[in-house]
Amino acid sequence: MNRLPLEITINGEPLSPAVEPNRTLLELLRDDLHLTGAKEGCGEGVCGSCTVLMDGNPVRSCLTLALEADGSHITTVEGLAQGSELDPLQQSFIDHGSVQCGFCTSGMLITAKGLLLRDPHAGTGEIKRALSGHICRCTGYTKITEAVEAEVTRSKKER
Amino acid sequence: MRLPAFAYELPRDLDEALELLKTYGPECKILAGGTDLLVRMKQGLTKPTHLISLKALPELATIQESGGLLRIGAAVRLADILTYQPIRDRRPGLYEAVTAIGAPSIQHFRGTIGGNLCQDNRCQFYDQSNYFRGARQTCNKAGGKTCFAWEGGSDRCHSICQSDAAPVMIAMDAQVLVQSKRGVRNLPLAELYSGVGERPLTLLDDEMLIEIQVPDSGSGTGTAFEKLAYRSAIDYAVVSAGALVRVEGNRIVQTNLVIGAVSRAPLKISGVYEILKSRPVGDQQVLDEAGKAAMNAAGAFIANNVAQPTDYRIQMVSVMAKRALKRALERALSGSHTMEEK
Repeated sequence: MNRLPLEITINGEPLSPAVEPNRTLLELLRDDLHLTGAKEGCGEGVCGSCTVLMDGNPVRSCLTLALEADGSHITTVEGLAQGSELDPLQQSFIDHGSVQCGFCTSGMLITAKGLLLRDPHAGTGEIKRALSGHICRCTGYTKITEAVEAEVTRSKKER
Repeated sequence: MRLPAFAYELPRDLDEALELLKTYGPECKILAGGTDLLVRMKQGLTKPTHLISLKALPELATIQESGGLLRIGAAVRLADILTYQPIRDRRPGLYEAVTAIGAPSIQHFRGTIGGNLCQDNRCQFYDQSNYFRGARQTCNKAGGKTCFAWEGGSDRCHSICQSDAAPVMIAMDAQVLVQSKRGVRNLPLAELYSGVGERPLTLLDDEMLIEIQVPDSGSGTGTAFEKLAYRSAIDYAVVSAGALVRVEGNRIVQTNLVIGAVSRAPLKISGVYEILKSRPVGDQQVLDEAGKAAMNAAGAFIANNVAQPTDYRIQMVSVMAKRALKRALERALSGSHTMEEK
C-alpha cells in the first residue's frame, strides 16, 4: 500500500511521517512512535482508553485515521507533564488514589484535561458527563471524579 | 483490531468529491467522523476500496438559519450542534437527541449529524466480529438467506435504524438535500430511509447527503426526544421516541410521533394525530391512548435484534412515546420553546 505524507505535531514536536491509509492514529502513536500511553481496549470506540487530544478536543484514536489528523496538534498522556514535573491533574489522580490497574487512566486524564481546558470551572455534573464515555473495569469512578473536582478547586484558589 | 487496506481520497471541493463518488460508486464510502464506518470496516462488515474524506470540505460543516429555515451541513460535528444556541433555545428535542448520541466530548468532536443519520442499520447478530459471526450461517444482511433476529427465521433482514437524531428530526418535518454529479434533489428526511434492512438508505451509489433542513414550526410548537438505554453514554437505544406537538389556544392541532430503534426505518406513528387531534390540552387520558397506539403500531416490527427482550421493548414503546409527547406538549404550552434543565 502507498504511504502518504503526514504533517502532525505530537506533544509539541512537529513530525512528518509517511503512513499507510489504514493506519489509525493509535497505531501511529503506539507502534511507530512508541508512545504507549494511549491504550487499545476495545478498538471500536466504546471503552475510551485510546483517547487523545486533537487540537484540544478528546477523540478516540482507534477510530481516527492517522491521515485524518493531518495538520493537527495531538496531545497524549506523555505530553501532559512538563519535563519531570507532572501536570497538576496527574498529581491529583495520584493523591486521590484514582489509579488502580491503570489501563483506563490515560484516557480518563486526557478527557478530563480536555474538559478543564474548555471549562476550568466544570462542576461535578459536567465532569461525570464528560467522563461517561470511559470505562474503568476496576470500577474506580468515584476516586477519578474526586481527583478532577479537586483539581478544579485547586486551580480556582490559585487564580 | 486493524483496518483492512483501502485507498484514501481527499477531495478539495464538493465537485471533486461527487466525481470520486461517481467513479467508484458502490466500491467507495464517505468518511466523515468515522465512528460508525471504521468500526464496521474493522469487523469486516463493509469492504470499500476507497474512502472519500470530508476533512477538506468546510462548506459541509456550517449551520445557518434564514427565514425560519435551519440548514445544517451534513458534516457538522455533533458538538457544534450542541453549542449552537438557537437549537438549544428553540429546538430542544433536537438538542436532546444529539446529546444522547454516543459519548459526550468524544464522539461529539468527530461524529457528524450526517453520519448519525446515514449510519448502517444494526442487529445484535450482525454487528459483531468475523469470529462471532463465523459460528452461524450468514444472515440476510451479510448476503446469506436467514435472519436470526426474527423468530422462526425470515427472508428479510430485521435490523434496526439506530440513529438518535432521525426520529425527532422526522417529527420536525426535516428535509434533506442530496447531491450527485447528476444534480440535487430535496426530499423529506423520512424518505432517506428505505425500510429495507439490507440497504437502509435510499441514497444511490453516486449520491451524497449534503444538508439537513429543519423548518421553524412557529409558536405554540414543542419538541422532545426520549431514549431508553442502560447507560447514559455509548449505548444504542433500546427504544426511542421523537415528538412534535403544536397547540392553538387549548387545542392540539398537530402531532408528529416517530419511534426509533424498533424497525428498519424510523417508524412514524400516523394514528397518534387522530387521537390527539382537537383534544383539549389538559386531557390526561389522551397521552395514555397515544402511547398505546404507538405500542400497537411498533409491536409488529420489533424483532430480537438488541440484547433486551422483545416483550419489554414493546411495552417500553408506550412509555417512551408518552414521555416524549408529554414533554413536547408542555413545551408547546409554555410557548417559549425553552428547555428546562433536567
